[in-house]
Amino acid sequence: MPKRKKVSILIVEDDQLLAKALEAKLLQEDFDVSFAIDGQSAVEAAVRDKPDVILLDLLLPIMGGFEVLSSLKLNDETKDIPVLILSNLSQAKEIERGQDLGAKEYLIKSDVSLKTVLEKIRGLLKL
Amino acid sequence: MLESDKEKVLAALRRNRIASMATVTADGQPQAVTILYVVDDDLNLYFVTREKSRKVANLDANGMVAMSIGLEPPMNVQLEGRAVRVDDELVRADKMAELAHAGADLEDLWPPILRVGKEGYVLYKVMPEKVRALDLSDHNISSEDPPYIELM
Repeated sequence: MPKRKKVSILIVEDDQLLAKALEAKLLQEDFDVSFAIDGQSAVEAAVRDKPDVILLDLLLPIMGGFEVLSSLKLNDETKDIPVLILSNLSQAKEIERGQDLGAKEYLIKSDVSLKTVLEKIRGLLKL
Repeated sequence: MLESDKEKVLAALRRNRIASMATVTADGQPQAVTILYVVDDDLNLYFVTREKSRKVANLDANGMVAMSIGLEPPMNVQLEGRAVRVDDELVRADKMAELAHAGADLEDLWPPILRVGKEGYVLYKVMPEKVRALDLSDHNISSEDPPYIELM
């Protein structure tokens, strides 16, 4: 029987401790995980690897998360990849901007647990 | 120190990941915080915090800490010792990865350090000078002869 392809998640996060914790959790749940630590490499990784979901921080070096999201949605190759924003930015205007740019979910780091992040990813993928 | 006692306490410390930790301010005022930790085979605990946190200021002035850890398994560990910064890059990488995994294991509790990060992280090693554990599974707990395991 052919092996089922794992669901792939691109974590875009420059906080190494948080990125490692997210990676550990997602690997426990049998996802395939890759990283980008700045906005520019996130866009490159998304175009190259076509992950199933992108977990996107907003405050990033080189290119900010909103710019990344905008770039992904303007590219036919990446526009359909669901993006879940995970950020400390919690102002209504920031949440609205993320949603307007096409994020499927907007989670505020201080409000959610890893379990919630996982549930949202599963919800996006209808797993 | 009996090896079996040490193993019991180590098992309790490994099962728990969260500690209440007291430090003191430069002018002697107590401050209690909750930390995520990992432990090594010699009962040293490691935790990470932000450079700008109050505990860093406290520990710069006075490195002594006191901790109370857990009720699961039925054991409460009380630990007093000295916290020192860890600057060795290899140890830092190793322990930060362990701490990240420990945080990922806590499904419903996402430790604050993972929610408010992004500032410079400081890794501390707590070297215990006194460790005792109260075995709460003992059915004959009394104030005259509490079932403490004294390791140091």
